[in-house]
Amino acid sequence: MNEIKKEFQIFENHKKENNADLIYLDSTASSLTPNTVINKMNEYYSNYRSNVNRASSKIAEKATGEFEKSREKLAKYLNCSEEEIIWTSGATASSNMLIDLIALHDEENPFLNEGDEILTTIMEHHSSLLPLQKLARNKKMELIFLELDSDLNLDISNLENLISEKTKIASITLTSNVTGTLVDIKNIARKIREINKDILIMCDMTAGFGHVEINFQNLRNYVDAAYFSFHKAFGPTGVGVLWLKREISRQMNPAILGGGIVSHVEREKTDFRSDAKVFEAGTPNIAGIIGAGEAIDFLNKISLESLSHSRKLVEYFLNKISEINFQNKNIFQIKTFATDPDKNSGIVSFQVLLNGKEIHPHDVAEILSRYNISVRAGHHCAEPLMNYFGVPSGLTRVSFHIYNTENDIDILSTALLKVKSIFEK
Amino acid sequence: MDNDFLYEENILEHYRNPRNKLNKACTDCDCVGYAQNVDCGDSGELYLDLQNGRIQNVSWSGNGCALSQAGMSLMTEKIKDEKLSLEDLKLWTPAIIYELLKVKISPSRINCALLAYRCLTDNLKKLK
Repeated sequence: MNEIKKEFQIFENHKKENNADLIYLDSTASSLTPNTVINKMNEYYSNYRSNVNRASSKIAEKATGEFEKSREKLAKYLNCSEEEIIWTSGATASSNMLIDLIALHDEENPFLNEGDEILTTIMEHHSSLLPLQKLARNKKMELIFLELDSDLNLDISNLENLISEKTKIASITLTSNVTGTLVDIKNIARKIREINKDILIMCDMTAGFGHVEINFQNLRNYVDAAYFSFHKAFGPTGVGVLWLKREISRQMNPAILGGGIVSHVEREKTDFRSDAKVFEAGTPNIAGIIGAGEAIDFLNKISLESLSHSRKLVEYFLNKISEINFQNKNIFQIKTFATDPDKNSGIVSFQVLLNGKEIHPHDVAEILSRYNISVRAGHHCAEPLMNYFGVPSGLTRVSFHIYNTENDIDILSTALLKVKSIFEK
Repeated sequence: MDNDFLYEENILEHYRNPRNKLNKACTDCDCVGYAQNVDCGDSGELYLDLQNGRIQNVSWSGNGCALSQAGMSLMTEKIKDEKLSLEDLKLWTPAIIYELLKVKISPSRINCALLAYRCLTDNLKKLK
């Protein structure tokens, strides 16, 4: 077992339980969790289990201190103010909160009009697209989609014709969770702003966080809001972040109401607190956020090699697929949907064809699972992209992270040939 | 691995040579039951022709994985071979489909396995 795999006890536990190595190629769905993160959360539950912010006992102060340390670490990691970090339960909660905040702000200070437009991309995850659809429906706005070029990169050649004074919001993903396409968000946002400087620009960073460097100091002139989940970047499930520029959030009232966000409450009215914690009503996921702090330490440790490691594996896998396709000409073919390694965050989706007929992605994934290989099959919560590609059954997806090796891909390649032998019986 | 459904000739044989499958949707049958698995695009339509409440013919169309399509084939074969009535079908539970498939179904494949059953329940709902 390589050194980095030793930092994830699931590999050893899986071997003991199944007498076989775990080949985990599904990190875009959810990454594995390092031992340090698990231990840190266990430490909270075992040693200083308490609520945060509202008590003065020793253990509550310890919990609050550890909890706030995570915010401090994240702000440093992202190069932004702690006041711009809003903890949520995940990227989906973040994107919904953001759209609700915009809609609420529009009720109090109208700026969205019937016929206005929202620019987005065909690559968006449903968690980004569906709240946009809701806003568009409620405000009678139109959604405009950027599509892809032949290399599966975002096609911005027609950007000028897609943006006008009617464009009020642009929501651009940082990374496709299907093709691995890494978007140059700074460049695209800059171009959008050159055409219309008043557009509110938001970015879904969920599939990119943990793979690529995110520096809000460099982005803040172009991007106004962004969100991601920690469970795809070595943290626990149930922890997300909404990054919202303070100059914007200061103008907004909270969309979710409850404990911990007030300065004064009377029978009929409430005064809210003035800092960004006004957007964090209720008891947060304390253990999860403390674990996320530990995940940031892990990210800092691997940050220099994460992306290049995943890209090498993408290249290795694409070469393996070329070999398989060459050796099985016209009989068994694997058709990939992935950007070139140098623009890829570590994801390859593909369709398996036997004698020109598709083998359903669920069947492919089921056979791979018999080799202890974890992949994802289906629409990947990106159905418009599946329709754009003309693959109604979806695709099989493999995604790499720091613990994956070329040996994982060799085992995957052997298992893919087993798919062929089973279906050609 | 020996118990893997995809290695069972029963499933693969029905997937490759589906019984009672139409190449296109039936437009003149008496009742159409529909089901879809939204996360993967599996879909099926179950067609019943009826006379005086009795099933005269059963057929289906659809697309999807080996499990969902074999399930459609096996279920329609059973209805036809055993000359089952609507009253018989109303007593069915998902266990009937699992028996036909003869393999253990993992939680992530239950929707695939039960596509045929969900088509049938849609038929029965429409015939109420």
